Amino acid sequence: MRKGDIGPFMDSNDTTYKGNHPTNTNGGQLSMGQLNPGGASGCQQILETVRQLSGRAATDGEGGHQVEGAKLGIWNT
Amino acid sequence: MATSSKTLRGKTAIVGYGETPHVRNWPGRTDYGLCAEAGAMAIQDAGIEPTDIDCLVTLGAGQQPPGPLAHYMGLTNVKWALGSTMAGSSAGAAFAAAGSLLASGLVKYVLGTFGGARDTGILGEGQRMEARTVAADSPGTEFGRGPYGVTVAANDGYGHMYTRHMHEFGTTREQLAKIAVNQRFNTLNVPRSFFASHGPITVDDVLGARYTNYPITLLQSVMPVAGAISWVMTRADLAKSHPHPPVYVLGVGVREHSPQPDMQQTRWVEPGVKYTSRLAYEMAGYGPNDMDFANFYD
Repeated sequence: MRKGDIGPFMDSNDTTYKGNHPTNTNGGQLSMGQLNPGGASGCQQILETVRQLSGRAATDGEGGHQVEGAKLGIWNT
Repeated sequence: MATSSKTLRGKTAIVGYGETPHVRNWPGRTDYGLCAEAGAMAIQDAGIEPTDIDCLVTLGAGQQPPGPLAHYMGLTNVKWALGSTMAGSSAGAAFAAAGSLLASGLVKYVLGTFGGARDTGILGEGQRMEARTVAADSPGTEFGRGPYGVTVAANDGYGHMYTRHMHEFGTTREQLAKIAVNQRFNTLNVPRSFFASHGPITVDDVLGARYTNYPITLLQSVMPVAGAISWVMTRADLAKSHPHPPVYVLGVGVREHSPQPDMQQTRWVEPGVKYTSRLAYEMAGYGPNDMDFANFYD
């Protein structure tokens, strides 16, 4: 993917947790809300990554939000 | 001393976590109280005792100072009470610092706990005024966004980057609206999520919401909430003796970048993750195409 290509990327990819490019699989801060922007704000990305890689996103809430077969993931804050 | 890019690879793991619901405000609660609550959840989730925690990492002095918080939580065996103060990157920096202390053998169990209560009763008008003043005086405002009419507002500066991206690359508002639509879908089953109960949204919903900072609308803006999140990290050799599957840390990268996006001496915003992801991938021995998912700071 080249710099600036986010537009076409969003047209041709699915970034939901069920899609081909799962991104912000718990909804990110846009959905969770932003915790204390002094720095707690980065925590939900970490925790969601742990939930996915331990398989515990499958039982988190009714129906879960597990990325199938997730073995490797990345987060940033 | 020579350092290896594989320094922390596989040396540590997360073995437990705790998270409160995320709510708009939490009147009557304190930062300490919420951090302690999430911390207690994480300790229980890891199947350990409070006395096992020998390092506590928090947002540090001025936010949630780790020494007093350790005392408040009754963590009597804390050797290292560590504050992480890299603004929005604090959580990641804390994570990397915890890994370094564990890998060096100085500590065995690190509890990280972070949050905030947003108690509007405690945060009085005077403090809100002060917060506005501090924000208005923050570095970058005067020589960066200031001349373009932006001072202190939701998403200040990001609207400019957004329109620049649209101009330079032909990116459309519809294309970027899909990010918010897909993230809302992802959150619908997440119990602690603020917007889970608000149902799905469409591209038209996003574009039709009021602007917070043109062309960014309300549904593309993060909303401050109250709550707290904690995790327990330990050494890989201790990681398997806990109730839940450990999640191993293969790579980390930290870099102080710039206090404000417009303080970067580049025409384009280059977020710090451009650099830190390279460090993390190099340490892990994997690349972007190996990742099954990504959770970015949004």
